[in-house]
Amino acid sequence: MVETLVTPGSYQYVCTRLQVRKTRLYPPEYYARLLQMSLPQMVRAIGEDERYRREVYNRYPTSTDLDQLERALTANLAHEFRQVLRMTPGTLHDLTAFYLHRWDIVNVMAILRGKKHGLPRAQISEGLVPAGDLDRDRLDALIDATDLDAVVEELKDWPLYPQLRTCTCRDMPPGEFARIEDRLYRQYYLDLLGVARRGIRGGEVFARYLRFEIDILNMRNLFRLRAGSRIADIESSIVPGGNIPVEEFARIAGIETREAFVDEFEKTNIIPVATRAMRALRSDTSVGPEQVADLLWSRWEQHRTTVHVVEVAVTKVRLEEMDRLATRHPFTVLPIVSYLEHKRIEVGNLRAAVRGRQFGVPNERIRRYLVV
Amino acid sequence: MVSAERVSPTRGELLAIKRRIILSEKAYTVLKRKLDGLMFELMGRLGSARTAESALYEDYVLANQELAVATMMVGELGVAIAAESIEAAPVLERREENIFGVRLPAFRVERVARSLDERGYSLLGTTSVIDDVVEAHEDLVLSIVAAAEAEAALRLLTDEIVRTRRRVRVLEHRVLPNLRETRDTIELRREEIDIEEHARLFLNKKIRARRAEERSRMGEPMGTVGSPSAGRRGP
Repeated sequence: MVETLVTPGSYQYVCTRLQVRKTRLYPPEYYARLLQMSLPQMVRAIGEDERYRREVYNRYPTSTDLDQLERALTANLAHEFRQVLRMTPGTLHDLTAFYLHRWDIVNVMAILRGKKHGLPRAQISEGLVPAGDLDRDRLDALIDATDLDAVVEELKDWPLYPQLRTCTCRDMPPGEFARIEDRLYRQYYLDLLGVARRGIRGGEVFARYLRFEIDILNMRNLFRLRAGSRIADIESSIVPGGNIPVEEFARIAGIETREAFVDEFEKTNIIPVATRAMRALRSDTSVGPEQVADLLWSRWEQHRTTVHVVEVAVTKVRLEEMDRLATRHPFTVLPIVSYLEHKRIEVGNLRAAVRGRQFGVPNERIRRYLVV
Repeated sequence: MVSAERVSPTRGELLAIKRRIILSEKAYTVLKRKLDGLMFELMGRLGSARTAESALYEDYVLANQELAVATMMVGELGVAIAAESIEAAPVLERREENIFGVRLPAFRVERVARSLDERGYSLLGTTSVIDDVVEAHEDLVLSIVAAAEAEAALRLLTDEIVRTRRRVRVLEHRVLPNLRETRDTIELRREEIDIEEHARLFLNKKIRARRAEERSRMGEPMGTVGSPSAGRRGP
């Protein structure tokens, strides 16, 4: 990789441009207005926005074909992310590229699975979101590869290639794709933590935020593992590198009494975040850590996953934390990541509003799934 | 159908008709019992079919709600990627259960409800909404199979009940009355024939007695008058 000098000016240039772009994202009031519209009006309103116009007009979505609108939104997201990638120099580019590898993982796994199941080329191509380091041409070349071995061979220069080696045309045991994907995501977080510590401005703060995100992800997945009756093998599904060590999760996984559960939880940094999220969700400042621990315990006891609206509320808290850090460190990597997250959330919000209306979900319920 | 007019009123025919009446009465009794049994089976299954149907409706509503939430949160693309991760399709095995000669289907499903590691998608690449939508749809598939089994059993039992009831009614209102009428007609005709025969024999006897008396008066021997050929000539 060619090292490019990232001067303070580069940070100021990129961060200022992204700050300007961030101001053009939809404010919370816009979603309230959007939810008052009918489905065709929603589609038209999104298409009339100059930021989405190009992708929406390319696909002609209608209120009866929302898949096209969703693809237009993800195409816009991919276009925007690749623009940011082009904009960032040197180590900033590296970090942004590593941050966007999550989309590469999604695309590579979609291609591998599609080819394994013999899906038509158009169907595989339609489902890709080229928002990462691998651009559309590269992904098309992967789809055109003769078999899985050829796809893996083509990805030799991809940073996550070592995790892909076991993917071959020969008989793969059931669940191998899922294991490969889990390995890719674990490596993704480790790489991101590594690159954040590589002398980038605000890298340490970003790494701290990332560790926090890993904790939340692991805790959510621990609930999923318990609900999905796979509690015996948690190490392969827990991302290392967070504030809470993997052994701690293994200990929590074996808890069956309320007292032990609450004790262990109170030691983690999850409870304050979950309490903030619950306060915001219920618009009640009197919600205390004990109530949150009780709520989590009731889900844990029933072998159920966490409540989705609580997950959304935690995402809001996480985003607020990110914004706070980005404001405190304005010319670092944090405003870049903050913009990328906000853009992803905006596309997710538009999709949620439109899909919610399509399924006839009441406005009040849709609002609870919007991260605003 | 036996028509009373077309049947020759012979003793053999009467016996045959009586045998058919006995057979029809037995068939009527057996079919009536089968009908009662089928009705009993139907009523027994009605409750479970109703439960299966309401469970299907509830699971369908829940699966749709979960799908709505999943589509809202991860989009059609996220749901499609998770759906394409499935590596082994569920297996549906059809067996049959014999109830009063009706072959009712009984389904056995395998690999529908799976644990997290058997579903094929990655834990780190998906969110809990995918788990919930998959679980809801697994329940929905099981409910569909249970409801299909219950509904198919009800339909087959109802068809058989209709068929059996038609047979019972035909026996009760058509075959048995016709046979009995035919039997009565033959018996009546037989009685008439017997009376006629009796009268004929009586008359014949009287004639023969008169002729024998005339011959004895004329001095003819008895043997020539009372020969069988002379008696059969009639009055």
